Amino acid sequence: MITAELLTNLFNIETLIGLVVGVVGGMFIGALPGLGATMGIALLIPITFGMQPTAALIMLTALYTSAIYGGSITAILIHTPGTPASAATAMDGYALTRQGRGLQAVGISTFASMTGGTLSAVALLFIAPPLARISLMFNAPEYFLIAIFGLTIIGSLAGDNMLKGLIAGVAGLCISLIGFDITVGVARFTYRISELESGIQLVPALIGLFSLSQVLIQAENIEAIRRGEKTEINAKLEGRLLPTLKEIITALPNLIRSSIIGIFVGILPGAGGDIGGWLGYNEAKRWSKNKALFGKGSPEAIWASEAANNAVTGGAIIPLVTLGIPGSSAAAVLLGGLMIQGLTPGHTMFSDNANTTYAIILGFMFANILMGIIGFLIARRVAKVANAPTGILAPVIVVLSVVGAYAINLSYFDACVMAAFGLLGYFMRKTGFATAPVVLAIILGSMAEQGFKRAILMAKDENILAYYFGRPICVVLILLIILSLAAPLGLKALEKKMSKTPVAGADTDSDD
Amino acid sequence: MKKIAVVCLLLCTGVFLAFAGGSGESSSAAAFPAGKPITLICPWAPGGGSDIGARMVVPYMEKKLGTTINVTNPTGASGWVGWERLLAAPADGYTFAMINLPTIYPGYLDPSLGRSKTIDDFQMLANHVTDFCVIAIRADETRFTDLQSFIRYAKSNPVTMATTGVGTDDHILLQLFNAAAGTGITMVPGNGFKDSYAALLGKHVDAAAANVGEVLVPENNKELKTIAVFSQEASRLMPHVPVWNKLGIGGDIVISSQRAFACKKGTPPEIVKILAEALQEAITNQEQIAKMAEMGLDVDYMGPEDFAKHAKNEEERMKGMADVMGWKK
Repeated sequence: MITAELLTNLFNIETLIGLVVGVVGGMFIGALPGLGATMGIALLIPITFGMQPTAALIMLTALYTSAIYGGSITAILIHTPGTPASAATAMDGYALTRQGRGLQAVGISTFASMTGGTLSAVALLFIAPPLARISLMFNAPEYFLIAIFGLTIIGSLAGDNMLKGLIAGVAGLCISLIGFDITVGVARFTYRISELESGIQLVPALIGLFSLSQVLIQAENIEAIRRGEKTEINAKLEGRLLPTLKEIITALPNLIRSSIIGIFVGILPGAGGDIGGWLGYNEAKRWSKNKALFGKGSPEAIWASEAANNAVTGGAIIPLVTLGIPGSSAAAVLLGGLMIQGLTPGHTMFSDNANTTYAIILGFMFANILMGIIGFLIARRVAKVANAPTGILAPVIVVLSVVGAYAINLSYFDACVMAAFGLLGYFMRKTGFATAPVVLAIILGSMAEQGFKRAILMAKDENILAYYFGRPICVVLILLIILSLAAPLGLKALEKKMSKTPVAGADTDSDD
Repeated sequence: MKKIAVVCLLLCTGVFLAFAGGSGESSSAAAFPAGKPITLICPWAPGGGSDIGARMVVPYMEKKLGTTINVTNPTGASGWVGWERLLAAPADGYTFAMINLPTIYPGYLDPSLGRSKTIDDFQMLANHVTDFCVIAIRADETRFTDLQSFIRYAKSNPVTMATTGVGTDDHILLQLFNAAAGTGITMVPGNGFKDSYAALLGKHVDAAAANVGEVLVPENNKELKTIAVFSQEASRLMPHVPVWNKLGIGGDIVISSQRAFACKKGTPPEIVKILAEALQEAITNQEQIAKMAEMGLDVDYMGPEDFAKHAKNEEERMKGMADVMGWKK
């Protein structure tokens, strides 16, 4: 498999520069709220016109995985997920920062992202064609069930008040209904506002609900701090950055499980990194011995969501190179990058162009490792951001939030959406509602709706229930949903019998 | 006191929102473009097919006009967010946009959207690409292997066809096809060709309505088989695929997805002429044509008058489909 041509493709100065530019640039773009992997790749594509195919695609894929990792750094340190993929990391990561363990959290995120990304590259290298065929077995009916399965996560995000969690989830589902109905083409709840025809965009809503609401909550204390009545809740940033060997061994099952979940979500064209992170998180909680810690600073949560969301990257490239079906929105832009280089997806990628393809995949693998190394090198400096006084940090985050929300579609409207969701998030958190279920429901609501509607059409004249039960994967998914709903209820009843210790709420730490 | 701080931050947000709003620029018609930068609005996501196509002509236009062309991508509302931005800018030629047929029509022909702008508010400049519609099946399909057997099968069995959504060229094609062939094929709409392709390959639908530019690579990879193309003449990129109109099954169906350029109506004629000539030179450039063909796209230049006439004809056809599209007052 390894030929001289492959090696010359891989080890030359242009490729190395592309690798470094992709990794470092990706971290920055990922860390900035609003600018994500998709945008970063689109910005870099014009630069790749004059580059060699290998160097160009290594740069773009490096940027992809690195941006997903970069988003977790700000999620952990300042509760500002740089990309939707890191939304699941924000809760526990930020809780750890508040406990003075921010450095440890960044270390875990770095190691988990590196491992998840590298494992996905291994999958891409060795089993891409069969995995792509498996991904084809999933379509609208399955996506509907996966979305429903994902929505059961709300149960574990709701904290102590299940009712408030469900209300937040339903609110998110209602928001996801805004915009065109894809099967009949009717505009819903748009009130003749053009921007609403494509629905509420996820990223502005996410920035508002997570970042702006956080800034507003912290801003409450600025005046008290100035008068000396309160002190900055500065994180001490103690502890070691690198996870110990023991920690890694303990986290290994979680790490591998989350990576497999991530790769799998990645190969599905209907699901991307945002969903991967949540599913990794939820499964980690399900299998954890320490469930109560989730939402309040659980290292396991970060191991899981960060391994999963970076594993999505390699997974999403699998159907892209084998079939030309991108596994995520960032991979869809990568397709443009491939085509510009004259590389057409399909079996020729692994035959005629094998030397280029394998060089790109190996480069992608190196990118994940380099990303980890650079991450560990800069972590101590970057983590100081958590120590910045609120009076400085808050306006900076506000500026970045507005610019980030505006930049995605160059839309003033999106910036307003971000501000509105910031206020909504602020009042939700002041009244004990978790904001994460809203984000999750916006992501999964349209996936569920479109999946179900398309499934009805695909069923032809058959009864929809008969159609679902005639599909083996659907039956498995239905069983999983029932299990995931019933198991916690059963466990709770058991726990109640054994002890009556109260459990604290998920977002109460942000209250004063 | 903490409330004051919250209010201050909100104000801060407000101020930045105000800045983000941006402002229009106006300038005189003398010696257009006089070295001033021109904005090209591409109302589709950066990095997508339309965006790459738009950016392909930019360098040739820049050379001819002696100025920079900045491409911006305000997306949303099936392109109308960008087109409304063009129509809100001054009619001075310093802003022009990529427009897509038939994508542009439902945005104003559907009365429920309440849009007052129509295709008449645009000054057409040039057509760039005409990507004809096709019907594709799996390469390993055994129930039918060509158009005739497909129609025969569809007349006696329920058949589903993936399209890229309501109001798209694929949707119109399926409507015209059902009427001409006497079939009752059900549409399964998705978001873009990737959904259609995945659904077809995974055997979740029986066929897909798509465009030449989309099926070219899967066809070469022996994943799909294209059974008909809906153009006047055989496709230059897929010459072996039978043309519907020449099969004599019935009806005259010519349908495509088109990418063109337009500016705002009311732009001074001399400026329209300068822009149109720059576009003609860029679009008919052999190097550009070759690059587009590599991506499976057939460059099909039409001048301002020809294309305006064509766009009006297409609008008429679209209006005739109001019932099918569910456009009610």
